[in-house]
Amino acid sequence: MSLELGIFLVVAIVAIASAAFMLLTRNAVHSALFLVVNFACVAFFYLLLNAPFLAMIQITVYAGAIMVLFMFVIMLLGAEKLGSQPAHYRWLAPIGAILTGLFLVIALFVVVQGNVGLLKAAPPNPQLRVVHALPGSPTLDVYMNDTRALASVAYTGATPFGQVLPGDYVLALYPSCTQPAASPCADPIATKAKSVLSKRITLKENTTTTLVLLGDPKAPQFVAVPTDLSTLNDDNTFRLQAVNATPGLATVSLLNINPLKANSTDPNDNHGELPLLSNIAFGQVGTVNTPLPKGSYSLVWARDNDRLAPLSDFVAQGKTSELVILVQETTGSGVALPLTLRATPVPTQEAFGSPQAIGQSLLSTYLLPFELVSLLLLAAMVGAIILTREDVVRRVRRREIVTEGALRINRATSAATTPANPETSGD
Amino acid sequence: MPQAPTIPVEYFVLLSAILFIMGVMGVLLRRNAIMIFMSIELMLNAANLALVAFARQWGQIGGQLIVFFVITVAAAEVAVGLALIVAIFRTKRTIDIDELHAMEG
Repeated sequence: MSLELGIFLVVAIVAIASAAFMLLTRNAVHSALFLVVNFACVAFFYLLLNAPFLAMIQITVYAGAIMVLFMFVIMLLGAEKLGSQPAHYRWLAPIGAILTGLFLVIALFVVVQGNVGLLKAAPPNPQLRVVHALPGSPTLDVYMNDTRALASVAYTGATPFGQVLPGDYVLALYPSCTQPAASPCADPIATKAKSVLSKRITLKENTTTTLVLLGDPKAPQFVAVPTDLSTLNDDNTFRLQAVNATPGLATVSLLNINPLKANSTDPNDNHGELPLLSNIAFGQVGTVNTPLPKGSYSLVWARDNDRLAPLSDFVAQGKTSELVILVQETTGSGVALPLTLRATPVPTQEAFGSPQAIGQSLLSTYLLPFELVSLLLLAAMVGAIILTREDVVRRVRRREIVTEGALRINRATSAATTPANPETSGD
Repeated sequence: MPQAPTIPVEYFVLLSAILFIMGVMGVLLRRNAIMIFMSIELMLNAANLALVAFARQWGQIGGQLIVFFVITVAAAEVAVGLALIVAIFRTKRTIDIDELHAMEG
């Protein structure tokens, strides 16, 4: 038996025992205190179930605010001693006990026989984006199986991630329409236009892929970069990947320069250069194995002793996945010019059940229920104030609220029939 | 995605069922309005526990958000319910629900 299971069993016994004592004790204050213990146990279970935010809410709202309200009312009414005066419906108790016992048996049977633990969610759909790192190529539209997918992507740009169903696709890129909307271009599929690149890809479940379009403008190609968007253990780190997209160039390395030591003459310092990735051939992907701390970096590519395409203002945020691409642009005079592209950083997933993840869902998918609940709380506040106002209670006692409508009905009917006394309500 | 569960979800659902039924027993067997109210809170908590357990099982954050809303609605319900109990106590001088068998006043 694992330690976690042992702790679970102990806390479960405490939870059930506190619930039982809550039901059995004759003092309402003791009942409320046992209920607080039970709520604390449930908060502990929330922690075991990857719900730290809910555990805190449980403690503050339930065990704190709601139970304080209970205690306040118990003490206000002086109801802490629960009298055992003879009840009118004594015979209900055994029947209720038997029915709840039966209910428990059925519930346990359903849980044990229903194999609830075997039900699992389907793995998430694959996600895909396209990064355009092909110099001299126009803005491109992405077509998957002859339908427009994702967004248009310009050179140095990246499409946002899009979800697709798992399966085989023919991914084709066509030049975007640059004409004004009044005279739209012909549909490239219908006219069987020549695509910039067409390739068959297979997307599996639960994968995140970045397709980088790169290479020689005459012979472009795709490189699939698996993008890791899983939760980072440390919020202050980011993942870094690099792609070499310079055809004809030998293997390159990615270096990080410490600016404080850049002018150092100490040979041991190596000019403050620290290799992040080494020996990336054309079309290959390098992935920094351990997440790097966030902050400002000064990156440069190295080929033998050459330093290419420095990227000095590389500022990385925490909880992101970064991708840098070394491309080779050809200037008008035919000189090859290496350049470092930086794809749009992608935020990694928030930890399951973290306050950030709850907040993201609350303010996107669940925004409408959130607003409704806030209105409900406002209505409850107004309702509680009105219900406990002294004059309302007095008017209820004098039957003013009850009889106002009844009086009107009585007046209308008594005029037609006998002039009976309308105040005939007995108690 | 949540990390691999070490405690099976059945354990949490069983515990949730037991706590829920204890809440049902409290509602059916106790005659004090405040005790009945506390038992309802116990049942809400048991349902919340099942929701959070299945949220982890399915890797869906929605279950946890429903629990967030349940807690909020429970807070509103407690505010109104306790105000009702106070109002009933002022008119009837008792919160024993067996005494509250008249629909009026």
